[in-house]
Amino acid sequence: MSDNDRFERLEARARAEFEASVDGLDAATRSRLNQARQRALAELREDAHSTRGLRLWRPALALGAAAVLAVLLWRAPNPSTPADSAAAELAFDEIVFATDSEDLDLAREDLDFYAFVADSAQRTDDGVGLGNGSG
Amino acid sequence: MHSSDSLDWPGLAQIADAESRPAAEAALQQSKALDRFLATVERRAYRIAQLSLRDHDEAMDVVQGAMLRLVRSYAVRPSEEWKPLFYRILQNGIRDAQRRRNVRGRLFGWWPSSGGSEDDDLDPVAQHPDPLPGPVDRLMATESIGRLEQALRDLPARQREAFICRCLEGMDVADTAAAMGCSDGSVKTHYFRALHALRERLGESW
Repeated sequence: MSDNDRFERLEARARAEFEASVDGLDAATRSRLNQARQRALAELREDAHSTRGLRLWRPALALGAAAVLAVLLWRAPNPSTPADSAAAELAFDEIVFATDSEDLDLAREDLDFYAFVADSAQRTDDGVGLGNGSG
Repeated sequence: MHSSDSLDWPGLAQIADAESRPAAEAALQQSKALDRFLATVERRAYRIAQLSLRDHDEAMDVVQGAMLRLVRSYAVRPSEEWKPLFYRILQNGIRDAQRRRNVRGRLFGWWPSSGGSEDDDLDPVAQHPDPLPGPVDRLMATESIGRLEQALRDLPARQREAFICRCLEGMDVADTAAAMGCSDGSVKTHYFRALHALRERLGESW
């Protein structure tokens, strides 16, 4: 018998023995294997279901997102409009005026002047004329 | 297939249903094909794992892990690729289990006992390892398959994998190479050496 024949015989016998041992597995082991397979396939079905759920909601989610975006764009202030630009410039001028030291001095002088005028008017009412010097 | 229970807009539900029906049908067909495939390989895979690990529970865990991994990661691949992929996952699982066992043995080998009641721990007869194989092992050893299994266990891992894929599973060289993650030439070499080694171990009479 050649080496090839011997190897072929070995292969055939090993295969037959293995098949017989697979067929001879007890019922409990078969049942556990079946359960393991069902668990694995159940996971596949769960994945498919969750993906399908997302797919079903996709149009609704897209519509909702588009609506929210439209509202945001509509309600958001647009700084490029002329009215808003003018308002922004005015506010800037006010800030410059308020922080300008020369204008602040002028304002303080005005207040002194108004206080002087009010004081003079009071003296006139009390009979103390501006031109009526005591000395 | 009705999905309107999850949607408030019937029109939208119809559109979504129409869109998802082919996908759902494809998923169902894929699930059936995987069921058929796994049913054909599960017992063989268990025997291969048991042959290498010699432990029922570990073998069962490895097979279940291989099934889950195939379903999770490779279900979308063409069905003709499932077999080499499954056996590759299985062989990796067997190798991992053997590695874990070796690590456990090195770490806890000196530990007197890892479980059981106090009475068991204190019983020197129960603690003493049985020098003879159990009745099942004795029966298996006397049988032809027992000799084959022992001879396969004695082979280097790569030779054993090549023999299992090529001879026991009837895979061609290309699929075996895919399952083992090596070249066709390596498969031929491993298989040839495995045949020679088995011939020597089993003898002419086997």
